Amino acid sequence: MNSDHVIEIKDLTIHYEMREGTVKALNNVSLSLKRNSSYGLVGETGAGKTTLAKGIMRLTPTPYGKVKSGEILYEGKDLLKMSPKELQKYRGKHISMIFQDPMTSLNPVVSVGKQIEESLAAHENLSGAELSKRAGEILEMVGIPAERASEFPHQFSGGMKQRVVIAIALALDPDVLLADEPTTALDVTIQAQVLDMIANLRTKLGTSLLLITHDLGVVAQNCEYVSIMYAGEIVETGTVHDIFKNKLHPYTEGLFNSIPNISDQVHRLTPIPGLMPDPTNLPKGCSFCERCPKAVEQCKTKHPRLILIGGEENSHMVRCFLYESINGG
Amino acid sequence: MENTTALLSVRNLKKYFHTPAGILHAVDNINIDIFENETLGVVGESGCGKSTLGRAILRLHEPTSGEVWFRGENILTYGSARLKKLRSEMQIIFQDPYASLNPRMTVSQAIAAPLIIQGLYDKRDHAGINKRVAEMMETVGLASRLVNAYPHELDGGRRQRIGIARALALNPKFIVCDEPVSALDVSIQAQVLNLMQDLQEQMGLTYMFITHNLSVVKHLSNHIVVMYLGQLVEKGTPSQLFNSPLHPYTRALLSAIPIPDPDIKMKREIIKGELTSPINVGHGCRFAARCPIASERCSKEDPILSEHEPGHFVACHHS
Amino acid sequence: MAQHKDTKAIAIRSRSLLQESWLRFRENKTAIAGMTILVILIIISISTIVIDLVDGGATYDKYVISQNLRQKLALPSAAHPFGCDEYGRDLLFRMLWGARYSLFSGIACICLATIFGGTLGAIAGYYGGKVDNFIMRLMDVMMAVPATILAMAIVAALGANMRNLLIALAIPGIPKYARVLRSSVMTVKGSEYIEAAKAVGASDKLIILEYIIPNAMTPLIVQATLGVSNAIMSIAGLSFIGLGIQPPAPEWGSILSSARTYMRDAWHISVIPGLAIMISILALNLFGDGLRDALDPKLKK
Repeated sequence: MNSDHVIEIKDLTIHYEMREGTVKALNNVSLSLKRNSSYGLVGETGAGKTTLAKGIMRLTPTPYGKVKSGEILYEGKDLLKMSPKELQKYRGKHISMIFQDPMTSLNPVVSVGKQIEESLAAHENLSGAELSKRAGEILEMVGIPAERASEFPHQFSGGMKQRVVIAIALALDPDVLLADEPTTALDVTIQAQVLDMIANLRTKLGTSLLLITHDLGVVAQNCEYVSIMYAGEIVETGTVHDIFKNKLHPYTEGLFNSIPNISDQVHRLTPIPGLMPDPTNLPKGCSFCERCPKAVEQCKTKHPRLILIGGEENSHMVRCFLYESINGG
Repeated sequence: MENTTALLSVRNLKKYFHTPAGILHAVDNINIDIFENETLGVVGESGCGKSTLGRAILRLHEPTSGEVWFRGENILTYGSARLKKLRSEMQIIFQDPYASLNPRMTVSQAIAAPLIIQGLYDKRDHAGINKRVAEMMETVGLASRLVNAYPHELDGGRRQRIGIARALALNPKFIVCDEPVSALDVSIQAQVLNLMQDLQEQMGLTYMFITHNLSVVKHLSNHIVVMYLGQLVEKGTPSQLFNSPLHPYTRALLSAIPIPDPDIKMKREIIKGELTSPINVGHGCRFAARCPIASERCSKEDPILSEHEPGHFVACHHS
Repeated sequence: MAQHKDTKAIAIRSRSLLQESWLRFRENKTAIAGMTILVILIIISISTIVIDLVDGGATYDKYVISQNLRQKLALPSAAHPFGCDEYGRDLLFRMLWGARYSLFSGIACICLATIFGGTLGAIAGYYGGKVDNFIMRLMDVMMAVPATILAMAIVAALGANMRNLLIALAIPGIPKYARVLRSSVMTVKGSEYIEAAKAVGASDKLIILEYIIPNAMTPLIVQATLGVSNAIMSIAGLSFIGLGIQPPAPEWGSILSSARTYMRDAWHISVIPGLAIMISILALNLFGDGLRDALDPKLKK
């Protein structure tokens, strides 16, 4: 196990067994997060990003959510094999998660200070006075005056609520923060403030960040590494430079071509035709084959594996038959 | 002074709401002109009043005061009969593809509804209605086999296409597009934006495109206005606004957009604080509390929207 | 516009929301059990009405009403599976003929309540403001009077017949259903598709009837189903104290009432109608719960 990596996910497969069929949400996904670094996870609705994040936190919805295989190693220990009691020790203290909608993440009937204290009290043995003091410090850390600890969530704006959520998540100085589209629901100027704050806090606390988003701009400005997901798999991964400057997978190219760029003088976008395949009925070959402008015969029947291409840190991998010959594959 | 060459002219439009806490200035003294076959981008963040503006123009919210001139007539003076007829010329596309469709109506019923309500087709004229519905579905790119599908069976992109088909069914001249692609995935956004552009060319439509996403609006608009707390702070062409933004809020908005290039580290003009309250606003610039270059004058005197260079207006004491 | 063609050529098996709800309902075993019992009761009730129509009440007179004192209080046997009551009348026949009173009166009474209450609630919810205030305060006044006492008062004053009974029991239900429909109308009213309807020029009347009511009906349907069980209990209760359906009509509550005196010697005349009432109410409740779960919008993707 590489001690450089704080979380290692190996071949994780999660399916949802529903009445209409089995939704293959995540299929053999492997990912490693290094200490004190930031990873972007990019994909559209249904790609499996939230399933992955919730899977790491063991928050996969039951009873229909089933982890079919794989390991999630946190500092060598497999989270999937832990009992609920053991997991409790990890959640919040070592791995924290924040969600997209700040409105529903906070308990509306408890003051924000108390919610931070609850998070602290679950893991540390502090007296009442110490808890409030600590909660005040944490609020200041996210830019909210400590006096507001006694206020309730509805008295804060969307951006401030999200700061409170981040405060709760970082209260115990976890090693890893999973952020599922944390700024998608916020205005762009508030998004800038919040992302800036997360970056500063990360520097101070040394937290690793897994940032799930569909916004390539956010990834470019906030992440060192990025993985692109499609139909439950990782189709391309590498450093941010690798992906942005040397896109390999046709889906990645398609994604970049569909976004209106501030600096370009483009008059017409080039969208990717069609839709993501039905996750209860994934095609036999490559999942992107139907929509791919560069598909060849074997794409329809064989499923491509992730191949190492090289890249900045020798970590640029892509799942596409176009590149198999490069690796002698 | 009404501009006779503009298709739609808004003069001194105000929409205030009465709340227990005071008067909410949602839309305050807006003046805009939109020309035929053009797109006006209306940009702003939550609370700026852009959605209320769109609805006030269509009289879905009745304006508190002001004038809305459409084809040379002030539609705010229309009675209910003329207003109903007007509806076939001025339409709206909504943001939320999940909430803007009646869950109990099929695709075909949703598109047919405006036709029946406006009396273009009789309820029993099934052949005529079906033909028109099929035309609309083809125009917006919906497969004909979806004609009896329900919204909950379809994804966001398809639902939004139904919304567009519904808006177009009456062959309107002017359409308010209220964040029509914000709720869609990136690749679907591109599909729908292309569709809207094509439809504009083919059908000679005029759009008022409301969004918070500056990159989308740059790509589509002939003119852009930036709103903040109910007022216009800057007005101009896309190249004017993007290349030489004058208002500090516009500059902050532009600099906040994350650029998808890791080598370009953005110099942020981060504005501090949060939106101030639109309730019982007094005098002075409404952006002053958060503005990096605000002075004493700013909190006392209302800035006036004035022309800086031809076609480029800004409301700021420091421009 | 070829490039905008919908390339996804999948066959859509179109299911309306109703069909989806039915599929969900089907999976709930207890709900199906409840529904089955209800269906059986409805079949029994309809059959007895048909038989009466066909033979002009002959069976009714012979088996349900006519007394046969030699069989007085006979316990259940092969000849009389449910035994006989204090007048020697076959209890099985009386029970079968009595089903219609409980079930149909319950349903009729709730229908009245939901129509009046629902209309008031929809108007209050849609128009808001002073109209809402006025209607709701009226409802508050109606709710302030205890239901059973009001029912008793009406029946005692106007006479204990079916019509008065239905009115008496419907009145307390009106405010309840008014509130239910008012709140769901208010929720639906704020939806964007209502705005969309206004944007194409739909009139208020069209919006209320075709857009709002169909979408706001769900909570009302569920509450009404559960309300029928309450009504059955109330009818039985009123008959028990002699203010409901009058003898010799074989309403289950009044059978129960007359069994009081003979409880010691003839267990069957109290236990059997008691069980019947209990099972009907249970069936309705299970059905209503199942309906609520099946129609729950949160379960819709």
